[in-house]
Amino acid sequence: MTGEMMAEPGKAKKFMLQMIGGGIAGGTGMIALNHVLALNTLGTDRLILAAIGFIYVMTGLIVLAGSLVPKMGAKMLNVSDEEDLREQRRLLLSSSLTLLTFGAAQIILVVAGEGNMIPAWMGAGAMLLSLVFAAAIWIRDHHLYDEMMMKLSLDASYICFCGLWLVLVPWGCLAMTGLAPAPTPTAIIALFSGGYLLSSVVAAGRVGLLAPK
Amino acid sequence: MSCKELFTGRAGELESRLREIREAKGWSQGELARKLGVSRQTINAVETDKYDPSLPLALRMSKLFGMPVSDIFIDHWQPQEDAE
Repeated sequence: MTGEMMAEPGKAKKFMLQMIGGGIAGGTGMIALNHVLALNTLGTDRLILAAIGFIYVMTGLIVLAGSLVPKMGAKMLNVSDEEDLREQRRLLLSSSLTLLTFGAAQIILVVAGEGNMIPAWMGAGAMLLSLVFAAAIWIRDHHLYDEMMMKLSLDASYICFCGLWLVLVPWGCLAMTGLAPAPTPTAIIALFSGGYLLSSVVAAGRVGLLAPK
Repeated sequence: MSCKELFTGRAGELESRLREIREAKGWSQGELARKLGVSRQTINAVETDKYDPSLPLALRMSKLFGMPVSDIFIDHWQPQEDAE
C-alpha cells in the first residue's frame, strides 16, 4: 500500500485528509456527547459502548451524506469517483440508516436505566427495534449484494465470531473460577458491536477496499 | 490451508489477466461490471488479485470474452506426483 501511495500522491493526500478529518470530527463529537450526556459518570463499560455507538452514528452520517450528495461523498469516502456512489446509492442509503439507528440505539441504551436519563424500557426497546430494523433492511436489500459483498459480509461475521470466541470463552472461564470479574452485559454488547465493526474493516481490507482511491 | 490463505481469504495462487483482457476490449471497469451484473469494486478486486470470483462468475467472464477460464485466470498449482 505504501508503494502505491507514494506512486500516487493525490490518493495519499486524500487518504490523509480523510483520516485527519475523521479523527477531528470523531474526537470533537465524542467530547460534545460526553459533555451533554455526562458519559464519564456512567462507568467505563458504558463509556466504551457509547463510543462504539458514536462511531456507528458518525459512519452512518458520513455514508448518508455521501450517498445523498455524491460529489461531496467522493471527497469524503474512499471511493474511486462519484459514479461508485451513484451505482450503489440504494445499498448505501439503507446501510447508512442501519448504522445510524443501531449507533443511536446504543447511545440511548447507555443512558437508560434506573437513576439514569431515560427509563430502562426505552433503552432496551430502542436497541431491540434497531435490531429488527437492521434485519428488515437486510431481508429487503440482500439481493442487491453482489457475490463479493455477500462474501465480505460472511467473512466479517466469521472473523467476529472467532474473535469473540477467543475473548469471551477464556474470560468466562476465568470468571467462573473466580480469577477475573465476570463480563458485564454492557461489556458483552460492546464486544459484539465493536467486534463486528472491527471485523468489517478487516474483511474490507482483505479485498482491497481500504486501499486509498 | 496455509496461514497465508487464512489471512488473505484466497485459496491458492490465481493470477488474474482480467485487466489486460478488459482493456484490450476497450471496456471500463464500470462497463464490464454492468455486463457481468456485479459491482465495480468486485471487478477491481478481481483485477488486483484480492478476490477470486466464484465459478459462475468466472464462467460468465469466459462466455463474455469468448475464451476459456484458464486463459483469464492463470493457476500456478501443480499436481503432486504420488510417491510410489
